[in-house]
Amino acid sequence: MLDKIELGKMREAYADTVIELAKTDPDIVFVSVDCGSHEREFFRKEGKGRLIEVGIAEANSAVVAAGMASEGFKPHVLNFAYLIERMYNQISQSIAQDSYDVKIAAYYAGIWGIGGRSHNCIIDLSMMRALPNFTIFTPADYWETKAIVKKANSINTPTYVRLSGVPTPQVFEKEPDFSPVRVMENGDSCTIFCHGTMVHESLMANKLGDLNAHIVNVSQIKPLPKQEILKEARKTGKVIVVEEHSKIGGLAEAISSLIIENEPMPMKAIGVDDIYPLSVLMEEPDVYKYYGISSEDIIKTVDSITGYENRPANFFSSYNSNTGD
Amino acid sequence: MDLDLVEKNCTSSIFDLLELHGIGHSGGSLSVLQVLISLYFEIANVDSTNPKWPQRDRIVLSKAHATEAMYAVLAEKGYFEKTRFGEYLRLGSDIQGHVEISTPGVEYSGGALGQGITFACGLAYAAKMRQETHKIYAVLGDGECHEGSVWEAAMFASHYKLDNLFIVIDNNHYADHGDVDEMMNLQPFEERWEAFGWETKFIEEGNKVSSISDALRGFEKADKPKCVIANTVKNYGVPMWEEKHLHQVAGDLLTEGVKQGRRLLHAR
Repeated sequence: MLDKIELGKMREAYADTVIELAKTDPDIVFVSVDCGSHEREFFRKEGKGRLIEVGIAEANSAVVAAGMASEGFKPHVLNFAYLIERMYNQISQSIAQDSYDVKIAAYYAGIWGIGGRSHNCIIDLSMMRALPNFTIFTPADYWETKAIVKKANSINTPTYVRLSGVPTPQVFEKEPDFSPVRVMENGDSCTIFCHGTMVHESLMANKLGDLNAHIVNVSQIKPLPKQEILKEARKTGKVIVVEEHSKIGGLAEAISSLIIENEPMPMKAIGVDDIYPLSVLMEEPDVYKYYGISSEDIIKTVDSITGYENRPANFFSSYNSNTGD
Repeated sequence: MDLDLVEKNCTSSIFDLLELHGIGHSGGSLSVLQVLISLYFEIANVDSTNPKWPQRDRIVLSKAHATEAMYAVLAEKGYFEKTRFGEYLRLGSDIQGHVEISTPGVEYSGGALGQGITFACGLAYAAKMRQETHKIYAVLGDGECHEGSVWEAAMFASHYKLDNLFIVIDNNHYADHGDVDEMMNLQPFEERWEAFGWETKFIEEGNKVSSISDALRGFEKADKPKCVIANTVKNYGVPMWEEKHLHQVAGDLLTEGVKQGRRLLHAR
């Protein structure tokens, strides 16, 4: 799976899939906040008002979408993840409260981006998880984005899909069937729950560190697939959660609550500290390392939870954590 | 229909609701009452026996705290029985402290201001897309127009030529903590709505049902959303509350005010 790293854009998969769905469902409309690429162009060309451009007015976009949904339309709203903050009260009162069928997708979620502290968003899951009635998805790559956008579209209540803004390594070879929880690799040293970009990072750590970990991709963050997660945790009795998200409010906190309430076992969280991430160029080699969520951090954490002490001191200088070569 | 009687009954219901629960938004409820009566009894095409009738006109109360007025009018119109007033604010009730769609006749669950008009934009846009002819009415407060999102919606409505969208602004001049224009000047209010592309009317007698209905019937321009700024009095009909421009009432002030209001109502 990791012999050759191919990149794909979740953002492109989103656009392709929304277009595909909209071709057969005239109730799908696209709410743009000066945003979108070829899907925006598709809806513009379709005419009949299916592109609803609200201008740079995020608050307005959420509530117009709610109004459309209350009349039976299925609005897809796309925006930068950080702008969820700008729409939050509108999403809460006008979409979540009455559970309107609005499909929100947010890109540039995570630490990647030239925009800097204002634009890099690692708290979107904290915000969205706190809202009742929302179903939240976190695709791991281009292919899973396709499956997830279709799944989100098939649900008649509010959904949030978290997308990376940069090309990300492919972990699937083709579009998978949707699954809220998926075992990516079987192992017995510990169970690594991960989502989004960290699925690839965890797979790489497993290979490079010879970890024999049980790697589980959690694609549905809310409602949390509790029984499936407990089942996979139980297989090894040790849990690590890895996410390109703040340690506050993300999957790690969700799983730790679940574990503590049900079957307490050793657990560690790998995520971004309580900070605002800085600007970063795509070419930058060690971004994940800088924020403590690289394959190296995963290997060290697995070693610490499994009690493995024989890794040579120079181990991490012997491979390039960015490419896996 | 005897609208004077409707108004008397609704005012009386507002007093009932305030007395029953010992607290309430007297100010905005008593200022907006005639606007709601105009909409539900004269202007809008609605059917209380079939609240979700697809061809109905939609009425969105953006200033969703005016619950006493809204519940009084909905009950008078027959959406639910007045015997249910006792359920208001009670735990588990679907008659909530800000109007919500759980109550028959309510189209939007409000609370935070500045969103009802935007929701109404979505309803109006949807009607245009489906080539449906029903109309959308939204009721706002003047203080609510401090919200930036109101002006995002104002731009949206004129940009998309939503001439099926009508808003009435309950221009009662006072927010919770004082004079609206002293807090943040909205003037020139009428000109601002005009400048945002709305056909706009200002009416002096905003607490008179017929003035509001006349204004809503008198719009002429195609392709423009419509705005009525109704000059109203906060706590209309209860002088001791009017002079204090109260937002909410409770305690002795509520008891005394209701007495005064009922006395004046009987004398009308």
